[in-house]
Amino acid sequence: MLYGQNTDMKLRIQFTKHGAMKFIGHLDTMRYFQKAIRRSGIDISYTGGFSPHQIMAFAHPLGVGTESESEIVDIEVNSLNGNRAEMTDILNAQMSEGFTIRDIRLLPDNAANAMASVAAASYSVRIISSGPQIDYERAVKAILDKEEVLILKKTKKSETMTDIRPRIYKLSYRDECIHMCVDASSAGNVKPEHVINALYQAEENALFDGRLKIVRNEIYGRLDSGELIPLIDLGTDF
Amino acid sequence: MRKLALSDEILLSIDKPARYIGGEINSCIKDKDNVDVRFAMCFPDVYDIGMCHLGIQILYDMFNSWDDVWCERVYSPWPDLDKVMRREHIPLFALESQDNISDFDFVGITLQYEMCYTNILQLLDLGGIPLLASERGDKDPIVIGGGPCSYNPEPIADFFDIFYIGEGETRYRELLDTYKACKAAGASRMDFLKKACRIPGMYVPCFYEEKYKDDGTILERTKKYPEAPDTIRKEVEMNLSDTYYPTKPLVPFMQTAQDRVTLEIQRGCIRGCRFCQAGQLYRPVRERSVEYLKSIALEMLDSTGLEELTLSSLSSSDYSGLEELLDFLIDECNKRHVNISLPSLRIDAFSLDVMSKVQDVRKSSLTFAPEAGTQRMRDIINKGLTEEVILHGAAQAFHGGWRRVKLYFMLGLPFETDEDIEGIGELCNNVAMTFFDEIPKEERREPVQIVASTSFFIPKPFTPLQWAPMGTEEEFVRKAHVCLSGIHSQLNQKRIKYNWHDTKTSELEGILARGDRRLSPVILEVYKRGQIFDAWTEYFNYETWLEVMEQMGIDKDFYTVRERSDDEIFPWDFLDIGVTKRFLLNEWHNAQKGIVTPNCREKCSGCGAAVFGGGICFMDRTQI
Ligand code: SF4
Repeated sequence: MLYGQNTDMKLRIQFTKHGAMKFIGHLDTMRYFQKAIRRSGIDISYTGGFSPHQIMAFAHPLGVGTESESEIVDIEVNSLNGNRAEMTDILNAQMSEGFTIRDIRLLPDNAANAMASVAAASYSVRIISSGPQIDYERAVKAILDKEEVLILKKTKKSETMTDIRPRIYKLSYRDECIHMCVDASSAGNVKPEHVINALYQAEENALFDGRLKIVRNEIYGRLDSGELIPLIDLGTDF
Repeated sequence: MRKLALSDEILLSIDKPARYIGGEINSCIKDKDNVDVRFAMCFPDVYDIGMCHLGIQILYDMFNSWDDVWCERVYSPWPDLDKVMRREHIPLFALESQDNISDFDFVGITLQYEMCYTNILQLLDLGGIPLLASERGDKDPIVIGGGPCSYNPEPIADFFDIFYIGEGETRYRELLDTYKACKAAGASRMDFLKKACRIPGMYVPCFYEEKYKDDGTILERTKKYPEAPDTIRKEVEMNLSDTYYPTKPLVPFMQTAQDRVTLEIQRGCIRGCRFCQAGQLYRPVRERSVEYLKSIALEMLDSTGLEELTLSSLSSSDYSGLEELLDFLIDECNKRHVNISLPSLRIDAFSLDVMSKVQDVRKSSLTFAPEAGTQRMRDIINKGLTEEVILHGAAQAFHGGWRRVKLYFMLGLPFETDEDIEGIGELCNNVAMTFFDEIPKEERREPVQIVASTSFFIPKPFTPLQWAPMGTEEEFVRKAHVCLSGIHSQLNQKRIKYNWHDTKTSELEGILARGDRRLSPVILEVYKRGQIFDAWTEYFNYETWLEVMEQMGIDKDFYTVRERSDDEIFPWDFLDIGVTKRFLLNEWHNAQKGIVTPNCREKCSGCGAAVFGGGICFMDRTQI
């Protein structure tokens, strides 16, 4: 219905980032997508001026070393190159090993921008520890039972103690992984590392000093009802 | 998934891990069991610098277009990773397969600047390949060098089995076929090298010896293998519109020095500036056709998705189809929201018009390269740019809205006097004066900014100034101060900013550029003392070099400050670049007399490059 129509449309792209691609930083991932979109022939909109930029916004930066099952980037296009499945294929044809386009959806015109929409994210964390081994199940239970979990949050300017307990929405231990769903909004972002540190503190009063293998599973937005919904599901089929 | 040579733990502990993972868009993966020749193409500097190098991309593309060859890339591990690799005994690997380079048939190393010589040894050492060619056995890869510095390969002769002299497009197929035949016949390394040296363009250094006179200059060059050729003529690709070009260039994952599509429009330069090595090495001028360039430009934009395109040549303004090409490119790039950068354009009405279409004039700066401060000096170096032309161009530019002007000069040119150096300040001041004369007060809200940069003249092989003495470090420092006070004495000194290039780096570059085989042990020892990445000021340590040279009894002044006599035999004389030594000597004499030589388009001066049978030498001058 929208084919060939020349109006700005917002598309939401969901992709995975695995293997060697976890070493590509956030800014480089953005540049990677800009080039991939050019190669694909997707009719993306540009800003004006002498160095025009593609209209593109990533939901949440992913740290170097972290893999992801579900990253979100929104783009604006002038026209569609095909339906949802076709456009997914078109963009997938430009991906290098480690990046896969899972889905592309059409966003309603009044959709909030990707970054502002982010409410939460879920992660699976495997601990490759060299330090003290703790009983994760017990530690998870201890955290969930607490009213307050204080962690030291460092910013460039200051160090403050903050309570992250209200922002841990889900926490469990299974298959040798810590699974969590935490606040990922710009105001209250909780890093998976914060939660792991809290687990160690709860159990041993020891500091974690091993290595983590982190996978982001999903990025969520929040419906008016207060319910969390995967960001990709805020878009529709086309 | 491809398995990486480095563990996650290591990759996460070093700076920019994306340098080492390979897998970039348009990189080439083949089955190693289905190829006959594995070629590791090395750039002896960090990935960020080497990745975009056009020469490597051309060869990479050419090799991989052949089914029996797999060419992969290698860059110098940055010092952080270098340490880890040595500590944990991790052998150097190629990016594509992540396999150890010692398993390859060839290790090719591009020689872009002298300051990368210790990095050559780093690559070989980390790769587990004996540093000295004489110590390599039948199982070791053939180490082959190419690129600008192979035009004086002698200081690094000990480390290479072969140097490929000239442009890579022409003879690699023959070399690899010879290699394959030798391999199939079970021939030894030496047998292969004996065959290889008979292929045009191939220089096998172990077949030659230098003998020296008491004064240290070369007495003669003798052959240890009688069948080896006396001279080696450079290879040139004469048809640049029907040859290899990487229409699917590699696209890095990380930001590199130049993230753009490079369109090489021609090779060579008609101008013959007497200090310029490239201007002599790549003669004769050969253009690619406009049609060919149009088609490959679009192909490259489509295959990479890069957002910038740049023209590459020594002097783009001299390209005969420039107007037609630029009209086309500006149009296409606009459609695709791609930026164009136009380096090496002469400033005139045409180029200003073009530049105003592709850049924000208020934010961009104009570049002039007068190279010397006075006309006398510019005549000596055969730089055709006059003060009148510069000021006229600047005036037009100021009217066009430009406010920033960069001027490039050299200090330490032969026959230079302090007046010539002070002329730099005067010329800069005159550019500023032009601004105030031309631009009415009400349009001067944004003030004019002039940046003068000086580098130190380094005499290079195969230039008319190869006989000239180079300045000492102390002289350079003094000259930079003369230049600075020359600028400070100007009326508009507040509008002029002055930068100068590091003197120590220049001196070492000067030693290596005109060096001979006696420097190989020096480079080896400096490397053994831990020196790498000399091209990076933060890692360059000139003290080590001076120490080693002193301990080995090498007099650096012999290579730098000494004026060569007309009949001196140079270490690189056995190479034939087409341009004759007789022509260069004549040019050196013209320099002494301040006589200007016309460019190839005005008149042929009979430099010798016509032996290649094409290019500008055979164009009808009444038509151009
Ligand atoms: S032979 Fe003549 S035209 Fe050809 S490069 Fe030399 S000087 Fe120029």
